[in-house]
Amino acid sequence: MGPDAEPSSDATVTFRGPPQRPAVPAADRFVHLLLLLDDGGPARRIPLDSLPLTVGRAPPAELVLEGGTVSRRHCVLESAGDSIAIADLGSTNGTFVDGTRIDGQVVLADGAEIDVGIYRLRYQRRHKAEAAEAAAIDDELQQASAYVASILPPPVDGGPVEVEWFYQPSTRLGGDAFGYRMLDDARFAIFVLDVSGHGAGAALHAVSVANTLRQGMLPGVAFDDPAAVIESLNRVFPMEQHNGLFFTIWYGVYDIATRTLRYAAGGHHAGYLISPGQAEPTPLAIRNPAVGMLVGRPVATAAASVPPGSALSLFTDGVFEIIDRQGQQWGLNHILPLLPVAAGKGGPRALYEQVRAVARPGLLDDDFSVVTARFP
Amino acid sequence: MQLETEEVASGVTKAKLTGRLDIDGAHRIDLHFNVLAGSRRALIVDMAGVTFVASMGLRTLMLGFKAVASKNGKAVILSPTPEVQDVLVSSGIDMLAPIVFSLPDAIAAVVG
Repeated sequence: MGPDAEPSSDATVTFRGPPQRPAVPAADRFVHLLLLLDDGGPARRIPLDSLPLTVGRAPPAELVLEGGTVSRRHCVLESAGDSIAIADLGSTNGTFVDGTRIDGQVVLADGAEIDVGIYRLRYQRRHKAEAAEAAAIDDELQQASAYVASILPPPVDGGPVEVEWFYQPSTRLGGDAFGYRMLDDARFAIFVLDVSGHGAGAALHAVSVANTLRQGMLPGVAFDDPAAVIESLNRVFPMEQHNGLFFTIWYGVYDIATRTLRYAAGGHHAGYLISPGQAEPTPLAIRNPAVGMLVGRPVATAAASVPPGSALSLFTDGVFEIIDRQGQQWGLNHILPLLPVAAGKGGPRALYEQVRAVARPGLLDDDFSVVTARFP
Repeated sequence: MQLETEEVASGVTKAKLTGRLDIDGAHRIDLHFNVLAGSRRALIVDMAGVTFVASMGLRTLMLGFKAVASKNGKAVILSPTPEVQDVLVSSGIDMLAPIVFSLPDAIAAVVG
C-alpha cells in the first residue's frame, strides 16, 4: 500500500459520467465499453463515450473505484484513433493489462483485461450495430434470469425440514433451477436440475421442467417415487423434441417419520449428506443417464437414513467447475473439503463466498446454485 | 478445441479432440462433429487430449453418438483423462458410447 493509499474495506464503484472539461469524442464507428467484472452479479457496463477518462480512488476521477488498493489518480483512458489507450498515472500498485504491469501508454485490444487494485475490468470494442444487438441480448438474458429467479421457492425456516439456497446466475445464464415442497404431511420432495448449455433457451427449458415438478404436472406419476418421476421426465422431455437440450437432475423424497431419504439422479453428480460427527460428507450418488438422452430406460433409485442434525447439500456443476487463482481447473473432488460450510445457517452463501475467494477474478462461467436442506 | 479425423481401419474413423470442450469449444466443433457422426457407422472419439468437458460439450457428443446409433452404428470414447472420465460417467453418456483405453479395443468395439 502506498503513501497516498488509505485503508478501506469498501469496494464500491462510482461512475460520475462525462468529465467537466471539454470532451473529445471517441471515433464514431465504434462503441467502446469497460465491463466491471464484479464479485458476482452481472458485469457492469461503463460506456467510454467521452474521453479522456481518469480512474482513481476519489473524485475528481470520473470512474471512482474505492478502496486502498487504488491510487487517487490511478490511470487514464484516452482515444487513440479507432481504439482506446491506457496509461498509468504513477499509481502505487500499478495498472496491469492482461497480467503485465504497463509502463507508458498501451493501446487496448478488444477483450483486454485491466487490473486496477482489486478491480478487474474488461475492455470491449464493438461496431455500433453489434453493440446494439449485444445490448438487446443482454436485456433478454436479464429478463430470462429474472424469470428463473421468480420460480425459485422461498427458504423454509423451522419445521421438520429447513431449506436455504443461494443462486447466482452467470452472465451467459446457465440452465439451473431447483425446487422443493411438502408432498403431504409426511413427505418432502427436493430437486436440483441443470439444463445443458447456456442462454435464454436453456434457462426457459429449466423453468419448464421445474414448473412441471413443482406443480406436480406429470400425469399418473407418484411424486414420492423418484424413479417414476425421472422416467416420466424422460418421456416428456426427450432431447430430440427439445432443441437438443438435455438436463441432469437429482430428485429426493424425505420421509419424516422414518428419517429415510429415497433418491434418484439422471446424469447428475451426487448430493451430499453432512451428518454430525462425520468428518466427510456422504455422497448420495446413483447412476442413470441424463434426462432426455435415453427414453424408456428404467431408472435406479437408492435410499439413505438421515440422522438428526444432518444436512443435504445439492448443487450444480457451476459450483465446482471453476478455474482457481493458480489457473487450475477444478472438478467435483476439489469442492468436497469446502462442503461442510454449506450445511449450517447461511451455508449456501458462505460456500459461494469461499468459492469466489479461490476462483480467479472475474465472473463465474456458469450458474452457481446450492440448496441445503437441514433435518433437525 | 480441435477436431482431426483419421481412418484407423476399414470403415472405422477416429475423431481426435484436443483442448477444452466447453461452450466455446463445443461451438467450434459442433458442425464438423455432427456431419462426421451423421455419415459414419463406426466412430472412435479419442478424448485423450481433452482437458475439460462442460455440459455443452456433452450435448455435442450426445447428439453425435445418437446420430451414429440411429444408423445402427457404434461409437466409443477412447482414453479420456480421469477428470474427464468422471464427467462422462456422471452424465451417463458412456451408456451411449462405452469408454475404452486402447485403440485395438476401440476398433473391436465398433466393428461388427
